[in-house]
Amino acid sequence: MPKDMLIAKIAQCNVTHHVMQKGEPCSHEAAVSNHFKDKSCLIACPDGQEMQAITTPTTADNYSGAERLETHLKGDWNLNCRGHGELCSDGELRPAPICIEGKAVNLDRLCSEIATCGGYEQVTNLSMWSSISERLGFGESCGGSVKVVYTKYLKGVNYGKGILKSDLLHKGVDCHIAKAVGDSSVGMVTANCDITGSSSTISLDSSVCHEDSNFETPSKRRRLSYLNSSSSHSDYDLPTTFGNNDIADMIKWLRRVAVCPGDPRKGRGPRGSRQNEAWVEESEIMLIKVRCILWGRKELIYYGGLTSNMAKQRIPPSLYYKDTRKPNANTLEKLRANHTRAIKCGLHVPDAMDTGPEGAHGTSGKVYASGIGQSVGPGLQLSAEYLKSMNEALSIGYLLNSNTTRKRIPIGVHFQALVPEWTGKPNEVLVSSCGEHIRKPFTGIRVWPLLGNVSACEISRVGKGPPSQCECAEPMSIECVKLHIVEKRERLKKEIGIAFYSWGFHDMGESVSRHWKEMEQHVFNMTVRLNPSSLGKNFWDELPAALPVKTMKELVSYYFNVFVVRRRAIENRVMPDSIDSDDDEREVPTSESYNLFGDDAPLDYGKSTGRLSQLVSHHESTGTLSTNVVHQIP
Amino acid sequence: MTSKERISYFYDGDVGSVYYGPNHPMKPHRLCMTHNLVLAYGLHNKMEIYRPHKAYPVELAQFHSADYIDFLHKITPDTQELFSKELLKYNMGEDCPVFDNLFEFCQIYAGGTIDAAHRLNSQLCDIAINWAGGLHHARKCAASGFCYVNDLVLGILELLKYHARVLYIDIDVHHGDGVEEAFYQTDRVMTVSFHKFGDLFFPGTGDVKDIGSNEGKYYAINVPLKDGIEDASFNSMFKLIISKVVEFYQPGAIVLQCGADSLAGDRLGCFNLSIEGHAECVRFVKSLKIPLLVTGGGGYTKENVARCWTVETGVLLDTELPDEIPDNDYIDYFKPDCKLKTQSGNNMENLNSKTYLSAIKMQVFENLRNLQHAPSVQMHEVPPDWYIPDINEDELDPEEHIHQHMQDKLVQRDDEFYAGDYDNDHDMEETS
Repeated sequence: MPKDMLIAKIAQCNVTHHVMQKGEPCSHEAAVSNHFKDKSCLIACPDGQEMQAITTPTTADNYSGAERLETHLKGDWNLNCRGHGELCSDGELRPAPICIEGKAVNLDRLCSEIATCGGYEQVTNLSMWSSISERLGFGESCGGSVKVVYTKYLKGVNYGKGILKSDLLHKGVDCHIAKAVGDSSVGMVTANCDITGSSSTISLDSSVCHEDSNFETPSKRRRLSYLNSSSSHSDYDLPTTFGNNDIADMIKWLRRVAVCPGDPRKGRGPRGSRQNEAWVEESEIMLIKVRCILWGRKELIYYGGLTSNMAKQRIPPSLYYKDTRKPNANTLEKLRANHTRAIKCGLHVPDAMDTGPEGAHGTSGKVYASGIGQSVGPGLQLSAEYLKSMNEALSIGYLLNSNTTRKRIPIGVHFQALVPEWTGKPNEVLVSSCGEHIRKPFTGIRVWPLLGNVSACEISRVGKGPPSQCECAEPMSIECVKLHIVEKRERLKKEIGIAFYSWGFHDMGESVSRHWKEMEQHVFNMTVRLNPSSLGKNFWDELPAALPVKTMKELVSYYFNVFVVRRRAIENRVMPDSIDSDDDEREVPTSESYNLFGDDAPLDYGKSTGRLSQLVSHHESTGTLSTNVVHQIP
Repeated sequence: MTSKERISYFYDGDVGSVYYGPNHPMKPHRLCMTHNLVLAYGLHNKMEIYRPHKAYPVELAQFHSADYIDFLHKITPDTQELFSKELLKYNMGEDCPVFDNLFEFCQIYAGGTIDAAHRLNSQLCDIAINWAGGLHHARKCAASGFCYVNDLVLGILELLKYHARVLYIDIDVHHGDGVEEAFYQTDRVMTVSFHKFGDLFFPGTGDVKDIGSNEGKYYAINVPLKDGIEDASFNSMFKLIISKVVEFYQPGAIVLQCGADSLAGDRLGCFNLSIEGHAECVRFVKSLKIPLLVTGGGGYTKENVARCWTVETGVLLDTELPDEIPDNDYIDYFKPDCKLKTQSGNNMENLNSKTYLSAIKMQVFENLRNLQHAPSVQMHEVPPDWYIPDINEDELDPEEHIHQHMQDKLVQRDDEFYAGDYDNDHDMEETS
């Protein structure tokens, strides 16, 4: 996975650089990379060995390497947070610049230098890196470092416009933004502090999602995409806007929250702007959505049973934190238990845990860890329900990298049914409806056998197949089949009487077309044919406009009862081996194949001949039954 | 020739005209086709057919949260844009779109299952059928996997008013997660689900190790299967496990979810069952002579769904149906072969080795052995004492228990031979 490679690469590249804490803002990209760098350094600084351990897996096992790195990052999250809190005292984030040999690299200049020298390829081919290094004020020996800086931070960035073009690196980094963001969104203070820079537009296009699309977010329909490789991947597209909000807004909000972690409302814009409470909430949802799409599968892995909750936003953001409320004993107990659990598993837990939350709001300071290694800000008390279900569903397996595909069953009042104790005798309590107790339970209204007709229905005609032979001129032709259907229908109507209507048989099959004028049918057919899915169109979008007199229900009824059946009738005869009438996007038969049936284009039916039309006109004297005769295939 | 059992069959003509939306695999029109075919075979002459009442919101709220039901009630395709937040919260959108008459649809299918349970409770019938029901993914506060209201849970809750224990059996290709989750902590409902598991197949739950918790520990049984299972092994697993379960558990009533997506050639499914194999499960459950509520479920190849449920209606009525499909309004859907019983397809490789299946079987039986014997028949309706000292002794500290419990699972998982790459299987098969 490129993404995993990336983390490792970023980490590796960071080893080569030294980080300074103060400096000028640089590009967004660089800032993000720095973010990772900071953390890697936090890990690496005390012991160079450890960094080595983190970076080596790139070759051996990218995935686990990246995993471990991430875990490490998480462990040091709190430290980071505090560090950046100081850094950002004035509310304006100032990311550390990229340094080579203790001197900051002017990325702007580097970029223009490379541009003047004919671009990256050219510079590399002509081995001009050392000279560029000199021009930027570093030693000749630093050419390699400059190259790394350029590759990591600038390549692919259209720096002049201040817009980040998404190349692979960006995507990877963006993913991590979203991830970092995601962690903070669940109400933990672990916000990504150093996302800053120009108001860059992150083009989180659908291809990002495609990369991650082998992670299946829990969707039943996605199965289709697996089975049907030809189907479009539109399912995976991440809409760029949700409501009034978009990703840029979300990042904006996130940046503000990062300054004052713990209170999502701090992310609001100035008073009077549209960035109000609602905007914050939208940002939160947006963020979860982004996270869900990018981490479809990982979510599933990491969060077990609850994942789908978070991924699908089953729990509203307000459930994540009920602010200003002191935690109740239950919650604290839970956290303590988790703490114990985490220690047992050999996890690093900040000592702050023991003190527990005190104040209602705080901008920094005490954090304590919950069982999943996240930290909870004091002003951000998790609601008890949420914690309960989370702790039980998100097993510690997440941290232990245990069997990862296992989804947990969430436990709690939001999930289980209330089952009363069995008292030993039937429980007669019935639900009340509209304030009135229902005296008798509903048992349905009998439709069949008809009232007063109980014995008459013992006609032993069960399971009779069609007559083996018929007297039609052309047995098995479409006309013949239709004739028999009508005959059978009339028999059934006589037999079941009024039940025929209560079961909706009058609206089944070909008879639905009685209510459709020929012109309307023609419009329907043409609309379907003119909007094939191969052109990315969907006839359902066009139908209501094309046939404004028809309700959606009528359209659907016509589609299933007439259109698909007619199509199927032709398919059965033309291509019996490859029929799939459940595929709405199917485009058969082609107009060429119609010619097989003679001069009349079958879609312009209209000739009703022979016994069928007589029978039809006899029985169905009302309406205009279009009989759609297609002659038998020779 | 009439069967001894009294059969009630529920159908509402309005349900067939429901449309989930373009290209949505779930097509309620299949119910229309099923009913049509049932009548074409004349099966209506052997049973009573009822139109269910539309379940009131307050009935639906017996399981679901009131706010979720309210939301289902008020949401329409035209107003859904105003509720984007709620849509996310209730997991509606892609899989579970908002369509016209959504709430009415839920009321009808849930009403059918509830009415069926009522009829069973009042002993007005021995078997009740509601092909419109069986939407087993719906959760207490959210929609999931094409399901909005979990009629099965509602039906079981009704049955629990008259029966000490209810057994739920699920042969849909997808795990019956909604029902399992709803009754995960109770011993009054035992859930048994046979489903495809792994490869991130929806919904992702249903590991053999998920066995319930607290009171409900050992009262959830999962039989995870792999792609392409065919009749013989499925039926033998099914019969073995169900007969053991019934013997141990002695349910007062059984709810059978007959999702037809476990048939070969289903649009979303990946099993290789023939209609005959599928119906064999129904036949077996019927033979247990326990009050039975049969529902539909998944099934995304319309004509096979109609075939399957018609055959199963016939099975429940003890009626052998001729293979030649009689004329009906939808006869063209069943052409060109026009046969009732589809063959078990061979389009899916059977990935269930004998070793794998027997490992699963062993595990399930192991869990069953941990299940205390249900009280004897004489004590049938008396509340049993479910306390099992030797199993629960580590539960003194609930936190500790969960911890221990999870660790156990983790430990076990590491050396699970069937969760790996089947190394053992290969060896076994080569030698055998």
